[in-house]
Amino acid sequence: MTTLAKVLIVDDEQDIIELVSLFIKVAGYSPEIRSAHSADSALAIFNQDGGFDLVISDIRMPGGHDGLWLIETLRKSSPDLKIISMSGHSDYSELDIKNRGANYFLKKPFNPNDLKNVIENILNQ
Amino acid sequence: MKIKLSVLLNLIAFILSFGGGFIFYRIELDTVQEKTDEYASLINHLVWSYNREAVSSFLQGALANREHLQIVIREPSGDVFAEIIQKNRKHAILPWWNSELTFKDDIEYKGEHLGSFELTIHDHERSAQFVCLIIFIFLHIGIQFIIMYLNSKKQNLELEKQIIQSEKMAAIGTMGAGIAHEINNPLTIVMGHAYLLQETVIKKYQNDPMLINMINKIISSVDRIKKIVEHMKDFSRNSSLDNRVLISVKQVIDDTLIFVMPILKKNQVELTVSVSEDLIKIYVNRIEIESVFQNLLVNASDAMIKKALPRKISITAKNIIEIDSVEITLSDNGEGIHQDNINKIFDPFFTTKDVGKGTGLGLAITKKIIEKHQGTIRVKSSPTEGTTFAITLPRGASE
Repeated sequence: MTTLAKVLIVDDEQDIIELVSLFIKVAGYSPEIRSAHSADSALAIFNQDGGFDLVISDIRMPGGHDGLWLIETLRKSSPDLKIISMSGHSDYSELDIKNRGANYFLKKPFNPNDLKNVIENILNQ
Repeated sequence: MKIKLSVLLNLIAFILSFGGGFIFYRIELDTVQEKTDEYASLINHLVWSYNREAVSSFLQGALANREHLQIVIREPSGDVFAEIIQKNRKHAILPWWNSELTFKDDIEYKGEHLGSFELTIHDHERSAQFVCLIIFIFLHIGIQFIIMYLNSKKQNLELEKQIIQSEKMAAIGTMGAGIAHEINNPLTIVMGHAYLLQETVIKKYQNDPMLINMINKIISSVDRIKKIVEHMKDFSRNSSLDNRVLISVKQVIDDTLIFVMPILKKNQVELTVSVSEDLIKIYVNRIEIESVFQNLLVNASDAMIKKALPRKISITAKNIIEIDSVEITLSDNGEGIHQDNINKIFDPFFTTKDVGKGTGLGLAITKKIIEKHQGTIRVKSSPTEGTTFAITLPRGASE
């Protein structure tokens, strides 16, 4: 299993951020975890901090840019970065999200195993 | 309510111009429930306390008999309450009529000018329309008109129902997209923590059966909510015409069967597929059309579980040249859909499945998908012959 060193979780709901962090730990990984509540602050943290190998981001977030913009922007600057996008909204098609640069689209709600499988898959890609 | 009939008279003239013969009818309506002097409530009795279909078919029967027009209304005692006999007269005089009704001119007939006739009736809403109906019979206007009137009234009701239905659908669609997002976030949190709790109980609380049972109930209930929200999202999704391909119906059926066969086998359902060789191709979102077939097949299979063997499903597909479409039928030999339910099966949230087994959106989504592809879906069902869904999809032309 490839290791996971640093993960950025982006969601406007703190509870989701905490839950996803727990899922990552339960899946057997212990990366450094940073979080952001908006796409704009996520990009700022990503650029300032550096060293992320996985970004897990919500799509629809209030204020400023949305998750699709974040995915596109990150993909342009970091071709090797692993990106998982997650959403509970039906406006976005999986194809569109992947075209913008996400490695995987996770539909909310998901369980710990779903996330574990996705992480394993994209790390082995 | 006031009704102006001058407009209708043009229509009558039109019908008469087709040479509607001079026909006499005899109409006898027994047992008026209670005696009343007000014509409005009398007519209400006639029309609303009697089955409308019965009145309509009675009129048709009268047409066949071609007798003189005679209306006899009896009280329950058998006494005649009112009797009108008309023999080749140009206009009627109604004995129980009060001053609120005014004829303004003679009605002329056959070759003669239909005068500027105006009839004003003061009445409680609906009954006035039926008063007009009865008057037209008196006036020997011709049964064609009455039947036409009844039919068009029925069609209007159907149309109204359809409009309400499509408004309902649109509202659910809009709501669905919004609700899905709002529900899915908290649902993720509930579901996620339930799973984490489950792991904790397994590891730290020796898999305590009572705790595990409680957690499993949370997880299965959340799964149910998830399924409903999922269906609502499907229903509100507007992307069905993205990703369309030109494909043969046979291909779509074959792909569907890969997923459905195991279910049919499990339920001991025999499947026959008969597909014409020369099928025209359709231009569709194949995932959606597959989901339509899948939904109908699984529904049919579910509905037959309690039925004794043999359980049969047959699929046919053939070209319908007249409408340049392909028709796919899916039939089962189950117990059919109850007549009370047949008009509701495409309504959102209508289900006869046990609580938690169906969301009631499957067929509503199915209909929506087919209609988006400019197709049609019809259902025929009887207790002896089972249920058949017939779908048409137009010939596809790839852009």
